[in-house]
Amino acid sequence: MITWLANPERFVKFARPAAPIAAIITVLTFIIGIPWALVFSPEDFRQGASVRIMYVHVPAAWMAMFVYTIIAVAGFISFVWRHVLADAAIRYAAPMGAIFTALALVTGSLWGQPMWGTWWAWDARLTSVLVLFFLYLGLISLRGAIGNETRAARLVAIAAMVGWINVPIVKFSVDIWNSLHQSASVIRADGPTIHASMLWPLAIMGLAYMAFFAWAMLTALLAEVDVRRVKALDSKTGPASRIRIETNASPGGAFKPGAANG
Amino acid sequence: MADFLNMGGFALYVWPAYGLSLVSIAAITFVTLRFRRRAARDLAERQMAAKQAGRSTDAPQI
Repeated sequence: MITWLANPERFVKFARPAAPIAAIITVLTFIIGIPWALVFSPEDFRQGASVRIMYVHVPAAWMAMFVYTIIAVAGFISFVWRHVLADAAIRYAAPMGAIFTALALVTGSLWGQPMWGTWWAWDARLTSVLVLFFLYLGLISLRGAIGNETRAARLVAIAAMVGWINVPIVKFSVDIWNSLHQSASVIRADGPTIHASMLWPLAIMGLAYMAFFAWAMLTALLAEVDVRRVKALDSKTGPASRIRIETNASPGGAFKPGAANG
Repeated sequence: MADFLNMGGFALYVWPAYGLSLVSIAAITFVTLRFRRRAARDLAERQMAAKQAGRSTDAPQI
């Protein structure tokens, strides 16, 4: 399905209706999730109200791993088939992934200080997430460092795939090494160990973050298709001399989304 | 209300966590919408120009 969507025309057909649906899901899940997280969910018997940080910390951390996984898949598609939209997906997902990872780190720090008595520790989970953050920054700066767009796309795609190795390290770091961080309590082989009264609002918040990311990606990629159409038009006519459209371009012919690939 | 804002004594940790999350999501939303609008506007400008040019060339050619 992902390679099917790499065709800009088909992508637009899919994304135009999908983006507003994602937006509606985002708004609804936040409207339900935030009051549930802040008011209606119970306080933890040991952690008190500080447990409410979980509802923004855990979804951000999930997204940190999920977005990088999307980036690695997009990197594979970009590397093998050289689809421009896959490369664009990496370009727009990387800053968002970096923000989610920073959020996971900072909200974790804000939770760690009252509960562990420290803002930060160099343990496996925290350090591997910090590495993930630097991988995002690396992807962003790698593209900026290479002038040639095709070459940049190739190298970014390779870095995206190679860097993914850190995602399972983040996931299983709490099970493999001794860590201040608790072990997995939601996504684990024997099912969640967290109580339903906390699991539900957490799942809703997770869905909200996921839908939000989906909306942002679809919207950015729809804009990217327009940007590429503009570039295709300008390369035919020159941005300053649009008058040449008169002689060179048949009206209509240049506006097919496929022209972006030409 | 004061109880709610106090967050069981963890106000200093809970509210910044939610505040930063909100600011980040708002920032992504703002940048994404601005990008979408600008791209759509740029394309519409080109298409408009092409359309006008198309009309203006029709007459002499015929």
